[in-house]
Amino acid sequence: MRLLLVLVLVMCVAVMVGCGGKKARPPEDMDEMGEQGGAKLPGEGDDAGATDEPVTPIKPGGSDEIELKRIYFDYDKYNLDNDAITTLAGNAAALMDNSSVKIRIEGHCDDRGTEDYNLALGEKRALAARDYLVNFGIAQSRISVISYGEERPLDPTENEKAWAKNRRSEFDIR
Amino acid sequence: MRPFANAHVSTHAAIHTLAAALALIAALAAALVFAPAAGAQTDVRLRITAEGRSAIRIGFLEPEKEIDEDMAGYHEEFLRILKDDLEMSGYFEIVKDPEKDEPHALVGAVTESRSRELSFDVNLQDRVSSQSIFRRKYAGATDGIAMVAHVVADDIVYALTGRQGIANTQMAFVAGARGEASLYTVHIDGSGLSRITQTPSIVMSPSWSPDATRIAYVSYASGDPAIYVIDLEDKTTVRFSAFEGMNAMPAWSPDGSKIALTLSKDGNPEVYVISIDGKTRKRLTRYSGIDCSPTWAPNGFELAFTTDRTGSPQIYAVDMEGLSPRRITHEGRYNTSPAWSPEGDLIAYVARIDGGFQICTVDPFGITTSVLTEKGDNEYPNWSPDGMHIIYSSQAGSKSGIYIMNRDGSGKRRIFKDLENPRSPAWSAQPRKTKLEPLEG
Repeated sequence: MRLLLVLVLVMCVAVMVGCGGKKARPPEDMDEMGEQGGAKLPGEGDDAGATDEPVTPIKPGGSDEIELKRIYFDYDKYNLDNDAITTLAGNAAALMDNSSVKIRIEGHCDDRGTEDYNLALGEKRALAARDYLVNFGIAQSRISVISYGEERPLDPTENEKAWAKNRRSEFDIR
Repeated sequence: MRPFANAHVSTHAAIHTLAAALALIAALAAALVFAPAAGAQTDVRLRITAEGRSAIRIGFLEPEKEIDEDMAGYHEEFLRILKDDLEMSGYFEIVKDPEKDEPHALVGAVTESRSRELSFDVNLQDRVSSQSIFRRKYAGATDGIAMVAHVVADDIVYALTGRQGIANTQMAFVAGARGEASLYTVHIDGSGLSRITQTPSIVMSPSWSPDATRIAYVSYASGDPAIYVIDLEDKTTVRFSAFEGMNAMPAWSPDGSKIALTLSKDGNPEVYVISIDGKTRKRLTRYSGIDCSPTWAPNGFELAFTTDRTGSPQIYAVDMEGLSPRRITHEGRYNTSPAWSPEGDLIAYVARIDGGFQICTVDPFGITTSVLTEKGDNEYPNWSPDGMHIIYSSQAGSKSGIYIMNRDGSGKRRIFKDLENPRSPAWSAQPRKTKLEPLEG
C-alpha cells in the first residue's frame, strides 16, 4: 500500500515536471533567437528552477529509480557464483520494493563455441537468475527470459577480458 | 540391412569388379562394426571412395569432330566446369592421358550451335570394351553452360555409382551482421544467390524439408525467438513454434512429417518433436541442465543431441520414446552440434581441441572418432545429400566462409565467402528443380 502511494506520488511529480518542462523549453533552434538576443521568453524565469531539480532519472512509471545489476559467469558455466548471488540478492530486494516492475532477463555468452550451444547456455544463464529471484519470492509472472547466445556481446574484441564481460545475464525493465 | 542398395546400376565389368571388391570389404567392415548392435542403426551402404587410389578414373577424349571456332570458348567452359564437378563429387580422378593412364571410363563431348542455343553431345563409355554407357545430347543457353555441366556431371555420377550427384544442389545459410542477419539460398557452385527473409534480425539454424520445398529457421524478428517455416515456392511464412522461452535448432525429420527442436518452456532447454501440423508434441529429454541441437538418424528411429548431463556438453542419442539416452562422445570436455550423416554411419560434430573448435566425426556407437579440421573455429557441420561431403562454417580471419570437405577431411575448399559473415549452412537433400532435360539418349 505504501509502495503504491509512493508510486502514485512519483507519477504525479513526473507528470507535473513533464508539463513544466514542456512549458519551459526554448525553441529547438537557438539561432532563431538571434533577433531577440538574450531576451527572456515568456514564462522562462518562472520555471527556470524546475530544470535544476533532479528530474531526469524519473520517467513516468518511476521504474528507472531501481537499478538492476548484471551478473557474470565462468566460461561454459551457468551456475551462480558468490559474486553473482550477492548481486542477485540486491536485484531481488529492489524488485521486492517495486512490485509493479516487470523484467526480462537476457542471457549472453562469449563467442567461443558453437552458436547453437551458446544459445542454450545463454538460456540457462537467464534461467539461473530467474530461478534465484523466484526462490527469493519474486513472482515468476513478473519475469520473462530470453537468450541472445553470442549475438550481443558487450565487448566484441577477442580477449579474456572481453569474453568475461560478455558472459552475463542482464535485467531489462519492461 | 540393405548394404548394397543403390550401390551400382549399369556399367561395365572393370568398374563392376572394383566396386564389388570394395563392396565386399565395406560389407565385412560394416558387419564387424555393426553386428554387435543389430537393430539400433543398420542403415549402412557401400561407400566407394572419398578420393585416392580407389577412385574411378575418368579420361577425357578429344572431340569426335572439330569444334567450331566460335564454339571453342563455350566448349572449354563446359569441360572446365564438368571436370570440377566430377572431382568435387569425390568419386573420380580425372586422368591426364586417356590412353596411357588406363582410366575406367572415358568422356567425349562435342559442343555445337543449335538454333539459338548450344548443344552438348556427351558420350560416356567404358575404356576397355569401348561400349557406350550413355550418349545424350543436352541443350542450354550460352549463359546456362554451368547448369548443363552440373546436370551432365550428376548423370555421370549416377551412371557410374548409382548415386545421386550433388553438382545441382543448393544450400541455405545465414549472413549479415549479428542481429541484422538474413536467410539466403545459393547453388552449391556459388551461383544463384537468393535472399529468403526480408526483415534483418537474429536468424539461425536453417533446416530443409526433405523435399526441398520449405525451410525451417529461427528468427527473433518479433522480438522473441520463434521457429518459422517458409515455403520457397509460394513465399509464405508460418510461425511453427513460439512457446515461452527458447524455440531453437529445428531439424526436419527424414520422412518430412515432424520437426525436432529445442524448447525451454518447461524451465530449461529440452528436445521435443512436433508434428508438422502442430497437433502432436512429444518431449524426448528430461534433465535439469541443457539438452539441445537434435539431429535425426536417417531411419527416423533415433535423435542425436547435445547434453551437459555429465557436467560438460557431450553427444548422446535417444529413441523416439525418449528412453535410455546413450552417450556417444567420450573424448574431451566440449562436443556439440551433432549432424547425422544421410547414410547413418557417422555423426559429425564440433569438438573443442586445444582452445579451437574443430569438425569431427564419430560412428553412432562412439567407437571411432576422426578430427577433420585443424585450424580456426569451425562449426555447423552439415552433410551433403549423398553423404560424401561435409559443409561447415569457419571463422579464420580472411579465410572465413563456408567450406566443403570430403567426409574424411580431405579436399577442403571454400565455396562461399561473399556477404558479411556467411554461416550456418544447410545442404538441401534434393537437386534444385531444373527444366533441363536431355535432348535424346
